[in-house]
Amino acid sequence: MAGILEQTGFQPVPVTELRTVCQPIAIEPEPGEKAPATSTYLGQERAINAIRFGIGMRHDGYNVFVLGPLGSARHSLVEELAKEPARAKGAPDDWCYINNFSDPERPQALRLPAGKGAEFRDNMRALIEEIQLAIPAAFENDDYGNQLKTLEAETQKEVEDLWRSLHEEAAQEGIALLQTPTGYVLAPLSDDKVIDDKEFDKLPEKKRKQIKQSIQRLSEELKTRIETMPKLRKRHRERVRSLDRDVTARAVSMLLEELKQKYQMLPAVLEYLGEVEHDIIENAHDFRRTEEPSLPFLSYDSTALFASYEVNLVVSNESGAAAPIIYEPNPSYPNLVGKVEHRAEMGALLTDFRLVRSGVLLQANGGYLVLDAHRVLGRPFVWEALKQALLTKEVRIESPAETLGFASTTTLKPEPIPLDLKILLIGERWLYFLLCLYDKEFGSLFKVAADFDDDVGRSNDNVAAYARLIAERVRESKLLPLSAAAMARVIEQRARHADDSERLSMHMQSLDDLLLQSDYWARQRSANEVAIEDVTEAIRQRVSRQDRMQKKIVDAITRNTLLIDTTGERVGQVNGLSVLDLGEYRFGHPVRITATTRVGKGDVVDIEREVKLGGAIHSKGVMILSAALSARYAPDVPLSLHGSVVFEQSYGGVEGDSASVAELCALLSSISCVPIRQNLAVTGSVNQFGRVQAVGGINEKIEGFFAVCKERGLDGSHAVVIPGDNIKHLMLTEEVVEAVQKNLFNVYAVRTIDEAAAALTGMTAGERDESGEFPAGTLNRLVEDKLIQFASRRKQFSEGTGDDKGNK
Amino acid sequence: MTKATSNARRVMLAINETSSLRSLWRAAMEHLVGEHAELITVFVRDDRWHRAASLPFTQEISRASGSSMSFTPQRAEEVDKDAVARMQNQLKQLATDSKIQFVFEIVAEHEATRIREFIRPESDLLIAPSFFKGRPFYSELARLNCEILLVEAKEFASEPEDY
Repeated sequence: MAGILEQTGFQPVPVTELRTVCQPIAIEPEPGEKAPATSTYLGQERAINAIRFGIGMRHDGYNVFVLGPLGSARHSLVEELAKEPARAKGAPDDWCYINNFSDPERPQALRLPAGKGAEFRDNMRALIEEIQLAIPAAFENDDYGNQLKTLEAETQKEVEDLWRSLHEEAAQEGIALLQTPTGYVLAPLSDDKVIDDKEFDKLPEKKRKQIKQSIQRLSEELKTRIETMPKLRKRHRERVRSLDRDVTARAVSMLLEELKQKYQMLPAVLEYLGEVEHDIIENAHDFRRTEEPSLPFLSYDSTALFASYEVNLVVSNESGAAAPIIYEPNPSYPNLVGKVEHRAEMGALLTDFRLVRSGVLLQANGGYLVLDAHRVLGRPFVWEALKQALLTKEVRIESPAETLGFASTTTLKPEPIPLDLKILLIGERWLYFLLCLYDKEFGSLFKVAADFDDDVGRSNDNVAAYARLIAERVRESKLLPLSAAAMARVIEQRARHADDSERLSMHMQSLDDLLLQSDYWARQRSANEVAIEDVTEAIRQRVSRQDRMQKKIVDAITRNTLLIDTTGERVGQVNGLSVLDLGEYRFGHPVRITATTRVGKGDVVDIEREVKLGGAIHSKGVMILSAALSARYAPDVPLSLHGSVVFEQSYGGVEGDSASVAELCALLSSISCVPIRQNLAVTGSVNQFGRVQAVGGINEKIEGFFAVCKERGLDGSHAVVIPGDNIKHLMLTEEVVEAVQKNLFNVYAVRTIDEAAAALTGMTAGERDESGEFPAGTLNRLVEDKLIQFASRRKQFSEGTGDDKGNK
Repeated sequence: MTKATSNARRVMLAINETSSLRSLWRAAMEHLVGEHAELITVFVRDDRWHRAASLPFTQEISRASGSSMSFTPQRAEEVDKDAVARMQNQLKQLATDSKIQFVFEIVAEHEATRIREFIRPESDLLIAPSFFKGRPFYSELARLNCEILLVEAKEFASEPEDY
C-alpha cells in the first residue's frame, strides 16, 4: 500500500496489524449445558491458587485480600471457590444470648449444635407459656390458700396476743391504750372513762404518782411491742415466701424436668435451665401478683416477667448444611459487629438481652465472610472493628461509642463470642498496597494476596475458551445467542478493551454490558440472535452516548478555535496526541506542541511545569530531552541552548511522557529551522539515547487525529507516527482501518527519534560518518552545527567580544 | 353534708378513726342491695383523745418508730381533724366505686344522743365496728332499740396485707 512517507523510505503499518480480527466462532451449546467453571475465570490461575491456599490454611492471619479491578468477577470466583470447603466444613454451631440472672447487664452467650438453637428457643417459649398457666394455678389451689390462711392466722394471733396482753395489763392498772392515726396514747381511766386534767388533779398525790409510773412502764412495754411488730411482719413474709417457693418449685420442676432430660448432653444448657428454675422459684411472689397498680400506667404485664427466660437466637444454622458463605454489601458497623437495640417505653429507651442483634461476623462465624475493602474502609470504625475481631478472635457486640470510651449511659455488655472465620476482602490493587504501606497490622491479618489479572493472552485456546465464557454468560443472562460473526466481534472488542491486540480483557462487567446492549439492539430489530451489526451498534451507541466532549473538541479544531494545522509545514510546531479520560469513556485528540530555541545555558524549559500544569512524569520527559540533546549533538561543547516547550491552548494539567517524541522533534525543528509536516501527528516517549518507546492509549490517539482529519476531509495525506513497540496494541476502529485500506489515512511506526524526525520533516536525519560528523545536508548536521554555533556565541558573550546582536 | 330527710329505710354506718372501713362498707352494701335505702355514715369523734391531751404528761408513741412526743390538746385537735378528713375521703372513694350516695355526719362521743337525729328505731339498721361494744357510748346506741349489726373491723391494724 502506498503511503505519504514512501518517498522518505517509510512503509506504513500493514492494515492487518491495525486491527487483529477474530475469525467467526460458532458455539453451539446443548440446552442446559454448563460451561466449565474455570472458563469464567480464564487466566486467573494465580488468583485461584491463592484463594484456595488462603481458604485451606487453618492458621490465624491467613485471610485473603483479593486484588483486582472492579468488574473482574472477583466476588463470584471467591464464592465459587469457597463452596466446596464450606460443604466439607459443615454447618457451625448456633449461638444464643440468654439472660444473666446474676448480672442482667451482661447477657450470657450460649452455644448449641447447629439447628438446636431454634429448637431450644421454641422449647423455652413453650415452657414459658406452660409456666404462665401452671404457677397461677398452683397458687389458686385450695391447698395453697389453706396453708396461707394458717400462716396468717398464726401471725394474727401473735399480734393480737401481744396487744391483748398489753391492753389487759394496762386495764389492770387503770390505764387505757388509745390509738391515734399515727400511734398510741396511754391515758388514765376512772370508771372506764379517760380522765382529764381536772379530774387527775383531784386524785391523791400517791395515786397520781402511781398512774404516772404505770404509764411510764406501759410506755416502755408499748415501745417493745412496737419494735416487735416489724419482726413479726418480716417473719410472716418469710414464711409466705417460703410457702410460695415450695409451691412454685413443685409447679416448675415438673415442667423443667422434661427439658433437662432433652438437653442432658449439653452441660451449658443444663446449667442455664438450673438458673431459670432457681430464678422462677426465688421470684415466685411476682408470678402471682394480682393487685391493681397504684398508677394506671404501671399496669402489670405478666409477659414481661417471663421475658427474662426467653432465648435470643443470634446465629442459626441448619443441621447438615454447609458452612456459611456470606457477602455483606453494606458492611456498616452494626451490620458487621452487631448492635444492641433499644425500645422506647414511657419516654425512656430500654434494652435487655433480647435486643442484642448479631452482625455478619457472627452469622458467618465458622465459615467465610466476603467484604468489599473500599466499603469496609469507607464506613466509620468498621476497619478497626474488623481487625479487633480478627486479632482477639472474638466478637464483642458494643457500640463504637463504647469501644472508644465515649458512652456514659449504662447499657448491655453481651458476653463476647469466639470467632473462627475466614475473611475474603475484595479490593482494588491500590487499596491493597496502601494498606500494606500504612497499616502495620494488615500484613499479619491478611497474609494471602490473590491478584486477579486484568487480561489474558489471545492464544487460540484462550480465544476458544473466551467464546465459551461468552456463551455461558449469554445463557445465564437469558440473552439472545450470538452469531459466529457477532462472537468474533465481541472478542475483538475485548482485545480493544485490553488495549492490546494480543490480549483479551477479563473485565467481566464491561463484557456483560456489551452483551446486554447487543441483545437490546438485536431485540429492537426483532431478531432471534445477536448479529455482528448488533454488537457494532451497541459499541457505536455507547460511544455516541458519551462522546459529547470529543465532538466539542473536534468542532473547536475544525472551526480553528483550537489551532491544529493538518496541512502545510511549520518550524518548531508539531501535532502531538493527547488522551482525555472521562472515567467510563476516553478519547484522543491532537494538541499543538511548539518549541522555541536561542542561545542559553543548556536548559529546556517546560512551560507546563513552570505554571504547575505539568505532572511529574511529563516534567521528567522534558528533562530527558535536554539529556538526549546533550548526548546526541556536539558532545565536545557545552550545550548552550535555551529552549522552551509548550502545549498550546492547553488549559488543564498535562501528565505522561507520551509527547516527548513530539517535543524533541519540535525542538530539533526549531534548532535546525527545518519545518515539520502538519499533516502528521506523532506520539511516543523517548529515552536519552533517542530510542522511541511505547505509550498508552495508542488507539484513541490515532482515532482522535483521524476524527479531526476526517472532518477536514481525508485525502490520503494524513498519518500518525507511532512507536514501533505499540503496533501490537493496535485495535483500531473499523472506520479507521477502512480509511487506511482506501489509502485515505496512514499509520507509521518508528523506532528511533531519527526515524520520527525524518518522517515529520521529510529530511534524512543522518548518522555520524567515520570522522564522527553527520553528513552535510542532513537534519542532524543542521542541528549540531546550530548547537556549536550557540556554544560559540555563548563563549563570545562570556568573553565580552559579541555585539549587541549576538554577532562577532 | 346533706342530712337524711326521706322516709326510705336508712342504713347507718357508725365509724371512728381506727375502723377498718372495708368490712363495714361491705356489710352496708349487702344491706343496701335491692332496697331503696339511704346510707348515713356517722363519724364518732373520740373524746378520749382530748381528755388525755389535757394531761400534761401524756405522750403519743409513734406506731412506725416507737418514738414518743407530747400529746397536747392542739395535737389532739389536729389528729381529730386529720382522722375525719381521712375517713371521709375513704368513704367518698368507696361510694364512687359502688356508685351510691351517702350522707356524712360527725358526732362527738359525749353527745351520742345526737345519733337519734339520724336513725329511726323501728325501721333502720345500725352497722358499727364490734370494738364499739366496749365503749361508753355503745350503751347509748343499744338504747336506740333498732337493729344493730356489729362487724369485725378491728381497732388495731392487723389485716393480713399489713404483714
